[in-house]
Amino acid sequence: MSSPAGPGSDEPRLYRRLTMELADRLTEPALRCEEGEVRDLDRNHVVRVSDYDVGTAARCQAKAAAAPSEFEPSIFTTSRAVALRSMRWLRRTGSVVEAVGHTMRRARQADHDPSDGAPAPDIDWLGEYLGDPALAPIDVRVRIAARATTWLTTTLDVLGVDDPKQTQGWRFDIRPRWRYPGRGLALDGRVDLALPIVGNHTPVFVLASLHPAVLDQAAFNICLWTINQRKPPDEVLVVELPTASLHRLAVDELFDRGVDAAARAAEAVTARTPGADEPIVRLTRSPSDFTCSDCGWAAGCQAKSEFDRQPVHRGGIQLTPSPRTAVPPSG
Amino acid sequence: MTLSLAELAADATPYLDLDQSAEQSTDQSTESPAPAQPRWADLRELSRYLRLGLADLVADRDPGPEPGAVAPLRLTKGRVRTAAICPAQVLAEVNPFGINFNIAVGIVCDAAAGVLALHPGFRPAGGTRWFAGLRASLEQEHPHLVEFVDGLGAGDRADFDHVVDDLSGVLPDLLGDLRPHRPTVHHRIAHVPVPGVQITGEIDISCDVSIGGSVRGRLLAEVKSGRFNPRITDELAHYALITTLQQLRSEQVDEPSEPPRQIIGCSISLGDLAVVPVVLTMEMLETSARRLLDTTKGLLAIDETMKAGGRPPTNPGDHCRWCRRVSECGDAPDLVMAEINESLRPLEPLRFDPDFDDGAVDDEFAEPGVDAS
Repeated sequence: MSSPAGPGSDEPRLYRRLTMELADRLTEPALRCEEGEVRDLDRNHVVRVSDYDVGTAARCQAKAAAAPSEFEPSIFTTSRAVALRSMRWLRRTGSVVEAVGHTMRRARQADHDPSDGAPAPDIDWLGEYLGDPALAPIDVRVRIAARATTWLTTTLDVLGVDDPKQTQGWRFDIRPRWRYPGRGLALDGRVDLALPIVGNHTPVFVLASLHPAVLDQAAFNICLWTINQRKPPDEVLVVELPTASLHRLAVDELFDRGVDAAARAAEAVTARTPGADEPIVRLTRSPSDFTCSDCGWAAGCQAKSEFDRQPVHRGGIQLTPSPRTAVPPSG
Repeated sequence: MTLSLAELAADATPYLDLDQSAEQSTDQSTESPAPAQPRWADLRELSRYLRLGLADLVADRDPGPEPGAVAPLRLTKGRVRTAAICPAQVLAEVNPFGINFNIAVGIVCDAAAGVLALHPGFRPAGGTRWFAGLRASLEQEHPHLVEFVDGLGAGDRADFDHVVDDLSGVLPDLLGDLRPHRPTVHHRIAHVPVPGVQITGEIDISCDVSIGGSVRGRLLAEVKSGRFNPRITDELAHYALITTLQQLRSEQVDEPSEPPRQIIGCSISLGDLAVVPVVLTMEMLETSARRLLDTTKGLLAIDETMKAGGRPPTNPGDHCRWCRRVSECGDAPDLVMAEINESLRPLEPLRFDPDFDDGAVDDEFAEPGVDAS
């Protein structure tokens, strides 16, 4: 599927083709989901495929089918959320440090001191976590703020924003989504930022690397964005934080990739079975130290044990590539 | 009056010899040191030197069983250091990282500085110890450190708290209020000069720096629990090289109107109770680039040796004391091995001389009924 990017092209039809393509590729996973529209079903009966699942499945499809571990807020898992929420205060405060501080204070107060009695917008998992001194004492909160500040400062630098007040019209933490018609299957995407360009917004992903799995996530998110916006973006930017570099992704290459990534993840996520110690369908496996470290199925995974038996080449200074483990069929 | 990092960030002009720099930029024929303020042409030349050198070195690297299967060759600060000391020490990366008293002190001071950079008013609540005040965040970010400290005996633990409190206690004065200077904390940085090679580092604290009345660069600060030494300059040059080269954008065609950002290094040396500015010249960056090429050559040689089933060359010396693979190396000097074996031997129980009397002990401290023998 290619994107007609030029003016006067059939852009409006692209989102329809994307929708049809997704519906076609996700037919089999959708059949494993409850019948009915997502909006009508109990939320516990809806299978959700997130961009996190897409990244996991890109690394190891079988791992994405294992029961996901419970989300635990920590310094590592909250700083990005704080940074994204702080975007909205950049214009008002004109300072990254103040915007982050304001976000954190607001999140805590919203949970514990709703002075006007009205429900505050930030009452959620973040407020609960930051507002509980037993879970997040001051040193933890400052460490979260430090990470968020570093994330935001570098992002603004890479995007060439000298003054935080120049962020007028920016949108942040956008959640594009798509529901499979007639089945309890939902695709939930996430786009970090959208920069205002005349007549359109440019989606921006802030990434720690350009690992193929991360780019799969970006492609998946752009598919959902295009469906929601009913037109493709003119360009997609990636801020690579460690190298402080800005990349432009080829938009027309993202759609096929995004649909493939969605299908791979949906196959895995819809195969999750409580209590199972093996996937119920045939899924690919790609063991690595990183991937297997928190996988619920690592103990009984044949591919992993084969990987562990590989030559010591993986040790040492890790210059020598280790041969990929052959992927045995499962199930 | 001690210089603080915030004061240095507010005006670094006195620490830069701007007149000398301007003079040299108009007279390139002299053999005096390179100007402190890099120019775009200097950076492009430096980048070209590094790219060509690395490309030449990694050209023959085994591409692996599949295209793209090779992980990038990472040139870390640690690898640059260890490869220069003893090639075989690089292999110690696979051995578990051991924490000792001094390393533990350094990690806690580093964490304290990271917190103070964003929250200059932070002090451990209720006059508690710094380690206790930072414990919750350390448990998440450095669980092995907390385990180590909890495992210390009562005497060592008291010493530990004492040293950490002494060093961390001076940090607020040495840092000042960095918030107006766009600080970043524990910032991981990288640069990819050629595909397959990644130069990486983590800067403890960085912030904007003003020179001549306007913000013209970044200040890179390393927190050190010891005294300032030349090795810190090398580390700062490593970070500065990455940060400087990051400014060269691939799509950049025209010469930007603004000069490159000036990168200034700085060591927060707690052992000296001082902030030590280090002006990083182009010459230092060039040396750092040469070191990267040497490191790459060394790492590839080790890899070839290991693949062929051989042993990498060693360079035994006093530094073997700190090597994680000293027990399996076999080349460490006897003296060092004797020290290590000695330190691993259980301590003999103390024997008191029942007749000893230095005549200085007050009676009130004497414990009646205790038989010291």
